[in-house]
Amino acid sequence: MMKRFFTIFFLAIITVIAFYVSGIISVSPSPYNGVAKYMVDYTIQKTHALNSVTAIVFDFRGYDTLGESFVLCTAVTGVAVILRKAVKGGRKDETK
Amino acid sequence: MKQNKKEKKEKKAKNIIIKCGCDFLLPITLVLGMYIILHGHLSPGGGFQGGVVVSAAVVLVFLAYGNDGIRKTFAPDKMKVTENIGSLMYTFFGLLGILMGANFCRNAIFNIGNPGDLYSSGTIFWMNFSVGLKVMMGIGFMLIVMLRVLDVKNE
Amino acid sequence: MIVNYIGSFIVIILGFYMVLVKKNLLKIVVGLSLIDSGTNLLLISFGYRPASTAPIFDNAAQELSHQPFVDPVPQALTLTSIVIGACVTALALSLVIKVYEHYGSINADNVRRLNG
Repeated sequence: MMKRFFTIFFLAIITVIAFYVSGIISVSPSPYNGVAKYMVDYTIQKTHALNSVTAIVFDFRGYDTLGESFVLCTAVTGVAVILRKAVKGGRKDETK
Repeated sequence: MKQNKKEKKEKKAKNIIIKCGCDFLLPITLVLGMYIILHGHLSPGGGFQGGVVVSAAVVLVFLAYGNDGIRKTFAPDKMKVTENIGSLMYTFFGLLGILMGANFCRNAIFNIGNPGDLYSSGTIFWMNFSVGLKVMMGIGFMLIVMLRVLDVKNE
Repeated sequence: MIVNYIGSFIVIILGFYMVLVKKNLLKIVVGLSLIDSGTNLLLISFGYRPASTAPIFDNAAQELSHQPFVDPVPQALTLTSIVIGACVTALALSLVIKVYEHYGSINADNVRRLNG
């Protein structure tokens, strides 16, 4: 009971701080200069693609996407290792 | 006796409306997913979204025909190999920048075709395709393995 | 838009509450997914600009100053975040399946090494 009370108390404090911060953020809009302006301005010139988000994901930040695809590969391998009884059981049924 | 009842229950659950609905939705899902992958540089979407839409075919086949249908339709070993081939394709198109004399992941062949054509924007098109291949095979394999757990427990 | 920020913070805090208080392991996984969704909403809200459209050109000759775009960089980062969130959810669910096979229950009190 005491543990739950402390949890709710600290979460209430975090909620108040978050509302204060969101009030501060919403006053000043997104500045939109620097790297975003560069990427939008040079999307057609440097990549010949119309979709700006795809140009960022696959061209300007291609190294990031490489790491992301390795994360996906690791997750698939981890699921296959943890549930290897299911993988093996399916194989056994195929040979029957 | 009890098993007979269970089998009857399973047969009753997969009735004709679900089967016909899944047969009707399956080609539409596959074509829509491939459209989203191939038009990733022109319209909203890309490799990840289209791959997930294509891999929903596994869930549709499971809803209509159960685990036996999945066992007849898909080959999980080949799917795992194809996922790794997609990852290698992405690395190759990243290395193409070095081969053409620039840095890694540089779009070195971007000036083939006009902007707005289907085949344009150089390596972005091929990277979309390889990531779509990787995501559809990876998520499909994960779904197959996690749906087979239901079948193992009954035996 | 202050409504977006407040809504995403509420979603994140509800996720924290579920992770900290609930005892069912499936509900903890749902809480992790809620934190992920709230973070995605917050990232998308950072890039908002009033009176602007999605960052996609109609044709190659469109003028930039005619109709401004929203910030495309947080959208690309959110795309990365969604895929990683899906991977985390899949791994956590398979771990829950393994825990149920080993202990016969998904209540965290009955699992010997997870109670506390």
